[in-house]
Amino acid sequence: MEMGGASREANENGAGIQLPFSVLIVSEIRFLREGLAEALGRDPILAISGLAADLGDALASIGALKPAIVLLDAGISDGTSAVRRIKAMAPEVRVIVLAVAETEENVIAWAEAGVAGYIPRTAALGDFVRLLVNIVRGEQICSGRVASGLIRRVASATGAARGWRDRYFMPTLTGREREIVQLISAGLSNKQIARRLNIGLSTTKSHVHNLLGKLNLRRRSQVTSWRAENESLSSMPVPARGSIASPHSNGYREH
Amino acid sequence: MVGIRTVLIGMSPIFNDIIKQSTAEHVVLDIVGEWETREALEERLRAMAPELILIGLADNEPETIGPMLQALASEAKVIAFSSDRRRAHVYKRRAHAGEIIDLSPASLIGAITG
Repeated sequence: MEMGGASREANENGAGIQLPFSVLIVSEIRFLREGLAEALGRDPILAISGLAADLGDALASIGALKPAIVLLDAGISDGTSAVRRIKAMAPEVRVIVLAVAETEENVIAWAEAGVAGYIPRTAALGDFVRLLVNIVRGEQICSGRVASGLIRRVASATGAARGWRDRYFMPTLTGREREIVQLISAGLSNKQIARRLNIGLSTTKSHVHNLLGKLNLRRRSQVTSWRAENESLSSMPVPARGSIASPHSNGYREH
Repeated sequence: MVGIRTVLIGMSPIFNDIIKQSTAEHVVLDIVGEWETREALEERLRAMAPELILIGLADNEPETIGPMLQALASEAKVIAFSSDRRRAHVYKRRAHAGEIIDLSPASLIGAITG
C-alpha cells in the first residue's frame, strides 16, 4: 500500500500498532461522529472500524472490532469513567480524547483516567492525523500553559513525597548524635566537642563515625548541609559549654 | 460555480471544519466569516451580507436568535445548531422555519440546498 508521509513516519518510529490504525469513533453527536468518520476515513493511515453513540455501543464495538485506537469525544457523558471502563475491558487500546478544553485540571483528569493523549478543542481538522500519529508515537503536543501546570503539579507531588519520605525515613539519631550534629555544624572540632559534652575524644570520634554512617555522608563537612535541609534539627539550640553534663540531662534519650 | 456566501459563528474549529468537509462535495460554501464570538455581530453581518448563517447556540440560548439574525441579514438562511450540536433549527427566507430532528451531514446538506 502506498503510504503518505505521516504513515511512513509512524511506521519508522515503532508505534507498535499495525497500519492502517483501526479507529473507533465514540460520540453522542451524530454529526460529529459521521463527519469525522468521513473526513478521517480519507487518510490511508487510518481505517475507521466503527462508530459508537454511547459507552454501551463503544464497549460492544471494542469487543467485536478490536480497534487499536478509540477516539472519544470529550463531551460524552461521564467521560473519565468511560475511559476507565474502556481501559479495564481492553488495556491495550489507546484512548485518545477529542476536543478537550485545554485547562490544567481537565488535562490531568483525562490523564489520570488513562488516556494516551488528547486533541485540543482548538485543533483544526487538518491537523488531526498528525496529532493522532504523534500521540501513538508517545508525543503529546500541548499548550505552554498546560505544560507549565503539569510541571507545577509534578513539582508539588515530588515535594509532598519528599516530605513524607523525610518524616518516615529520617535516620534515627540518638540524642547524643543530634547534639554532635549541631556542634559540628557550629564548626567545633572533635576535641572541642569532647570538651563541650564532657566526654572522651575517642568516644566523640566513635559518635561522629556512627553519625556519618547513619546519614550516609563521607565527610564531616557534609553534616552542615544535611542539618540545613532538616529543619527540625536546625531549630534546636547549640548546646552551650558545660550545659550538658550527662547524656540525659537535656531530655534526650540514648537509643 | 458561485459559492453561497456563508458565515460560521460560535462553533469550534473542529466543528467548522467538519461542516466544510462534509458539505464540500455537494454544495459550494464561500466562507466569508468564521467568528468564535458574537462581538460586533450586527455590524459584521451587515457588512458581509451573507446568504447563509451557520450559528452554534450557547447553553440555554434560545433558537429564536434565528429571526433576529434574519432581521440583520435579510437575504440569509439561518441554521442554528443546538448547544449539544444534536439538532438544528432552520430559518429559511420568507419566514419559513423548520427543524432537523437528528442532525447528520446529509440532513445539513439538505437544509442548505433546500
